[in-house]
Amino acid sequence: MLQIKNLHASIQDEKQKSKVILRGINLNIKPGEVHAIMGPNGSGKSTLANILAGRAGYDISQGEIIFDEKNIFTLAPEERAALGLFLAFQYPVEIPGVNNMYFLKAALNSLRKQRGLNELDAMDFLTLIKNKIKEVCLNESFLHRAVNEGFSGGEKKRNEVLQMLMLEPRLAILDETDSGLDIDALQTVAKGVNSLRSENRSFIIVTHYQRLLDYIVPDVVHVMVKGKIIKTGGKELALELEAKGYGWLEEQVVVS
Amino acid sequence: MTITILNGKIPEKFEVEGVMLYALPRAREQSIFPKSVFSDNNTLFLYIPKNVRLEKPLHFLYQNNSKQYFSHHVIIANENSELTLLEEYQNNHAMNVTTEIYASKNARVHFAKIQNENSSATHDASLSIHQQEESVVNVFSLSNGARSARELIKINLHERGAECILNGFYPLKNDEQKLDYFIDVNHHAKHTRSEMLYKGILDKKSKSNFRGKVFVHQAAKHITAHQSNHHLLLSKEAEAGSKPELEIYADDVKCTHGATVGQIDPDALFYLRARGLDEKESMKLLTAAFAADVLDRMKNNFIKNQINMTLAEYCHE
Repeated sequence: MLQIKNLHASIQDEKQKSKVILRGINLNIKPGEVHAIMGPNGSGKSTLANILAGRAGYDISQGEIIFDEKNIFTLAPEERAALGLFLAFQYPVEIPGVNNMYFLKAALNSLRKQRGLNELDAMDFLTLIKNKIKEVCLNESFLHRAVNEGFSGGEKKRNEVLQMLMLEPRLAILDETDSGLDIDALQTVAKGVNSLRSENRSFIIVTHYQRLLDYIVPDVVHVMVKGKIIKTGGKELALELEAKGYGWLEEQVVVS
Repeated sequence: MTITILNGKIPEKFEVEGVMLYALPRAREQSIFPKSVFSDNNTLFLYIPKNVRLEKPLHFLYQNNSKQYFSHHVIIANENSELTLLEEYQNNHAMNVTTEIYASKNARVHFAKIQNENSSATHDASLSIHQQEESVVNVFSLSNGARSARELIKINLHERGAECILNGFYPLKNDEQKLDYFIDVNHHAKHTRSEMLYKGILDKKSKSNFRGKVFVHQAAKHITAHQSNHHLLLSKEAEAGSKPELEIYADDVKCTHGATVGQIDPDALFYLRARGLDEKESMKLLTAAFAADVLDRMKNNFIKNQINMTLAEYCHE
């Protein structure tokens, strides 16, 4: 479903100096698989997630991103969304003045339109969202508020999961969706992901901690350090990391 | 009720729910009007007697004036009266208007203005408001049409408990478009209250200049005055100037002011696009969001509709 080949990326810092973030990432995700990407702070995990979703501002010097046999490299974020890519943001943006429900309806209908489906009318949409919002344990009053404005950390992440449930992506990237969550919220997020798991839907779970992976059991675990995937394994790798930390792997990077 | 002033022709007299609206010749005979206002012939007088509350808004609509035109509005809202008035301008040349509002004790005046002149026209307006005890005046103005527009607003809160709320929105989008706002709010008496919220969205090479001044006289203790002016620039060449001023000679007052000039938040734009909204749609949503709070302050449905119609036209061009 998704293939990332030898991806190199850098950004310009405040002093206009180029800083290399990704140094040759290779990933191959098949339909139905859940991949976890773990690694210490500053290893480039969030950069990778943002580049996949189409955020501007990165200088990509080499590599390819193939989604469903299509190179999505030049596509705008909304075109990637229409293909079925979804990024659950690490820091969901507060947008004062934009009503949460209006936004969700506009987003869903825009995707449906781009996919050649008919737009949902107000009644159908309302029925749908009232069901979905229960799944993420948010009160319906959140629909009438501005997007993420004044939401707590946990409420923002639940709102991300609500959007994911509504938009039903084919590939969802969760960028540290577990950070700052209490155990109830963590389980809600996991429940949301697990309810969407299917043969032709894939997930990339970016996280620091093994905790989330107790609830969302991954097929593959990658360890990313300094812009490179240095180790790939099964779900047991996450447990090993939890016990030993990242230090021993980082040493290996230095040695090699 | 809409009173259309087409090509500068003022209707002589109107009667709405017992309220008199006069053009000059008739008004001269009425001793109730101050002598000072008989300065020109294009004057409309509106006199709301004591305890009369007008349910429906009055609407002065200026259309198609193709030569320079001067107009003068005098509104006297007597004790305990209530009035909603909308001035709307859709002219092709130069419009020059002076509006005076006198709000007596406990009067409620809702004054709105839609400046939707032709993009080649100029608009020069002066609004002066005098308020007595416990009167409340709401001002709302939408300025978006004229090539060059100037709005002078002077508020005088003469007596205890008088309150004036000023709101304005100015979306400018043409290269040569210029707008100036000069607002003075004078607090003369104790326990008076004023509030200003003005927001502008500027595109292309348009320019705006806002100066808002709150003056608190020595006798005006325990007053509240808030002032804010915010801008969203949609192009690198647009210019917005903002100069909030406070001059305070009284003790124990509560005054705040704030001004910002900003751009579309790139993170918000990316967030919307990542969910499938295209760039144009996302921009539209974010600019509408910027204006939402000030537009929401207009509660009158008729005026709200007129504003929405004007803005819809603006968005389609």
